[in-house]
Amino acid sequence: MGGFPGEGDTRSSDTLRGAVAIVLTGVVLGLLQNALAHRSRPPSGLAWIKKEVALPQLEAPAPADGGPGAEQPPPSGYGEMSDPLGLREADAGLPDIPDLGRPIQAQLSVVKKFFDARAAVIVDARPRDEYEAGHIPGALCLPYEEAGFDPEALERFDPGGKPVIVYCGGGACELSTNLALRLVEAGKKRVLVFMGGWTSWEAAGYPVERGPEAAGQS
Amino acid sequence: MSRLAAILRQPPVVRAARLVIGAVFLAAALAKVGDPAAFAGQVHNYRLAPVWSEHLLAMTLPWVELVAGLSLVLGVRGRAGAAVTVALMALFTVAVAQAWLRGLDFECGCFGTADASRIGAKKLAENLALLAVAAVAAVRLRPERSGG
Repeated sequence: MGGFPGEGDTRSSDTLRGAVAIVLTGVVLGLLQNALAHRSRPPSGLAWIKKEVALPQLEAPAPADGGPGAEQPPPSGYGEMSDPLGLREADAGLPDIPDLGRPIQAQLSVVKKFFDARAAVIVDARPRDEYEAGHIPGALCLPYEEAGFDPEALERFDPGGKPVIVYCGGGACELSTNLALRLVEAGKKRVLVFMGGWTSWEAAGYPVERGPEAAGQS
Repeated sequence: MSRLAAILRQPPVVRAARLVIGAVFLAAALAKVGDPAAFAGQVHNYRLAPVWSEHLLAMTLPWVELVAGLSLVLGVRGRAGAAVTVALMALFTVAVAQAWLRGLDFECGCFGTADASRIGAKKLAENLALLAVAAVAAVRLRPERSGG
């Protein structure tokens, strides 16, 4: 196991050479794994060189009624997503979203305003099981791993003229940014990425919905 | 101290250290090797490597750990494997220390997503202890028979 009794180590120069060989072997195997992942269906590997995605930031509106104190009860029915009454009522105070031709970063306070006003289509980019374990009420389940590589699904997705807010787990999660980039490529306008994502939504104590996507939601 | 050093140079102690650090590296590698994307996110948390290199690091580092761990556990070029673990543990310790000093708070990603322990004094102590084990593992075992 730890070398046979009586068997010693080789000279230091050999050890150094062996260490270099170990590192090189590991590097080659790692690159090979990623190359194979790129060829798999659906392709899953990482980009060889990571590009820094710096999304423009949406101006946060003045904190008039923001904050956890302004929390409202969760919407009772999700058909209300398109309820023009609810929209008209809370439309004031919503920031204008410019069409920049690329996704825009949005913070929790802005997302909450759009949620309360039901003035945006909220999209969950996480895997389906994570969506079912808990998501923003009324959010559509559009996992990046599936929809991101399915041009038809991206095409079918119709926000009906509303802005789109994409989120995922938050923190280091990049599913939302990736899905938002695909949505913009597919011609969708005014796509926001909710940077804090699920983690910050849940931490703020905002309404939560569990279980599979309601029928007819997508 | 010299007596401690003498004990740590005993071949059975060195072999045990190689098994321990080898097993730790194998476990850490296997936890990460299957999900490079998740590990890439954790590499990003450290804000240490330039962004362009983060994916390359995330895809290769677990495999280097795996090969080094295998060499130690199987006793094939064990000292070379130990040398790699010393270098990596030194690197990891610096990474954890700088993140801690900068007040970053995130899961260390040391064992992939399987381990939710966060950056902090405890993680730093753990790293230093493993660095010490790796250093003992890197002690040269002299052949007991000449020409063997």
